[in-house]
Amino acid sequence: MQNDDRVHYMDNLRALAMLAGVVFHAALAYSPLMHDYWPTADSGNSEVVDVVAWFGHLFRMPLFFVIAGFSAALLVRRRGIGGMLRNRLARVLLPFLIFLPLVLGALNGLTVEAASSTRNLSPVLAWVRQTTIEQGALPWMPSVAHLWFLQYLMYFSVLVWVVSALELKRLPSFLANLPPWVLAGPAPLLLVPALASVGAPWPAPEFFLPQLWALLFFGFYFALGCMLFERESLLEQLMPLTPLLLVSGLAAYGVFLGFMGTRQPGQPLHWLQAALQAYAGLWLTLCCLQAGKKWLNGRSSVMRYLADASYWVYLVHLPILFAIQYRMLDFDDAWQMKFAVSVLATSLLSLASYQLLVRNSFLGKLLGGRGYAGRRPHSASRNTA
Amino acid sequence: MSDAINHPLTSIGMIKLLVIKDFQIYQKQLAAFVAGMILALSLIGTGKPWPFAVGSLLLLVLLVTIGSFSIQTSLITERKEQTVPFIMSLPVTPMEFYWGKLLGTLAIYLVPFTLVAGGSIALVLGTPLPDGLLVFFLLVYCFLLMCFCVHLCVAIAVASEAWIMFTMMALMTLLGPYIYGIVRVAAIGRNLNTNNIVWSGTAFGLLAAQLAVIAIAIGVSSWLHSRKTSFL
Repeated sequence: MQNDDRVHYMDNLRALAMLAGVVFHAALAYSPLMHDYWPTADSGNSEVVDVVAWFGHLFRMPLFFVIAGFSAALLVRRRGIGGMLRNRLARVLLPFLIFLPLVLGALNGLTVEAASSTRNLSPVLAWVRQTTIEQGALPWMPSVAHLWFLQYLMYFSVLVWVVSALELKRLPSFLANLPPWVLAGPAPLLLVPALASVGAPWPAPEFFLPQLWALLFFGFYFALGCMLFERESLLEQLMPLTPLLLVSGLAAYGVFLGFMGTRQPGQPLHWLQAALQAYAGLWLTLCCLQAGKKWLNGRSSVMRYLADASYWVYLVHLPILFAIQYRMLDFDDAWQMKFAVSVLATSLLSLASYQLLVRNSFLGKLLGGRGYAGRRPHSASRNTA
Repeated sequence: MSDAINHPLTSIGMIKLLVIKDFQIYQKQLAAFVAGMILALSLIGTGKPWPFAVGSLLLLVLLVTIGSFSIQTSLITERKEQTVPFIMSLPVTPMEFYWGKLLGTLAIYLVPFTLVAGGSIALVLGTPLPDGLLVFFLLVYCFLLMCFCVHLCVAIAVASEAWIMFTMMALMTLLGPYIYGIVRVAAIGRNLNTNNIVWSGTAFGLLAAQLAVIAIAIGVSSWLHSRKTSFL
């Protein structure tokens, strides 16, 4: 903990993880691997995008859930289980219920409009146009879109209450006392069955019902966050291993990349892909935490602002991004130009809307729990994760 | 009882306290049920036939169990443990105690019930399952809710454990014939495997009758309790 009672590197890492989501989703339009599945898939694409985008994908959301677990443990310490649940209801469930219909409505409307007005249709848009012509409307998809992370945050918050109510006191202390080598060595094996039950790279669990693999996979990282809170020395103990973890993580990703996109992989290859994702993901997540603690552990007004804005930016970025990328499907520019424009425009519009509509309004209070700009928060845990 | 009426806490405040008390006492069991429900929902969410069947069965078992459990623990066990003499020494009126028990037990049941019923409806409407199942599911869930409410009201109104057990068993045994019966009603059964959501007069009538039974059960037990001037 810092003197001003904030855990800066966790705040800053959370902001970066959420803002990286904008870049990741923008990149998917130019990913050959996602060309048949992503609505804004552009005719211009490059394998370089796959190499970079899926690298970040391995550890971005795991890192986010580590921070969420850390914050949940912090909230429980400061406010008790009831206080933590009340906070999560207000900061996670309520925004989820408010923004889900708005986001889904916007994405649906933009997609139907793009399917009817775009010349260079992506495969998904072509299907949408065909379906709309045949059936008159798009069938309802039971999806929570990119807000799935809020759904899982609520599940994990409830499970924290379950662990507490069932008085499973030995579980947190058992986890907190695990030797560091167990975490870096055998622990990722626990993730392999979960990852082997889905495709590679692991998909976003957007279905409205909880997915067993996602509960296990992200639950592991959430528990790791709780463990980090209970045992602050863990990262220091892992510090000597960091160069090895970084090199091993990159190597594991390199091997995974060699197999990525293999159509209909056999069982052995599929399990190997799952193991590579599990190990590379955990090792790189640990490296991010180390890097964050080393280089992002100070007070910075820019990072503070981005941390405040990141929740709103993440909530609204996808409809904005889709609106921009659908328009650019008919442009003949290079994919690099379209990618840069879509990232910059989405980020600027999201940040501008935060400054104009959110920061000084009731929405700021809803999302950040701090009311209006100028009031300083007391703890990192007042934010979403 | 005049002390109770003049107590600084309002009646609603006292009822809230009684509901919170029940929740705190039984939260360990509730936590286990919630964990079981998350597991069941995630099994259903796999979309594969076997986990789907196991998850659905687990969900139904948990729903029936939590209904019986909440009534058993919050009413019957408390009676056995002779808590009434202790409650009589507190600034609580019989009606506050009644509403506390009714609302507390209903809340404990309605939270998982709403999750399960809402999840099932979303599943029917949002997946390739035939939409015609919607009417059937609503009729079954409404029947389960009616059984729970009748069981709860009987448990509150009647002191005899034998009668309470009889009511529970009778209501449980009705579920199978009820499902069999509504599937055989032509207006409901013939649309089960189609995407047509047909609200026939029979379906509306059944729903209305079940809601009426719930209202009557709560009304009668409230009326019986309102006549009480003391706990005994």
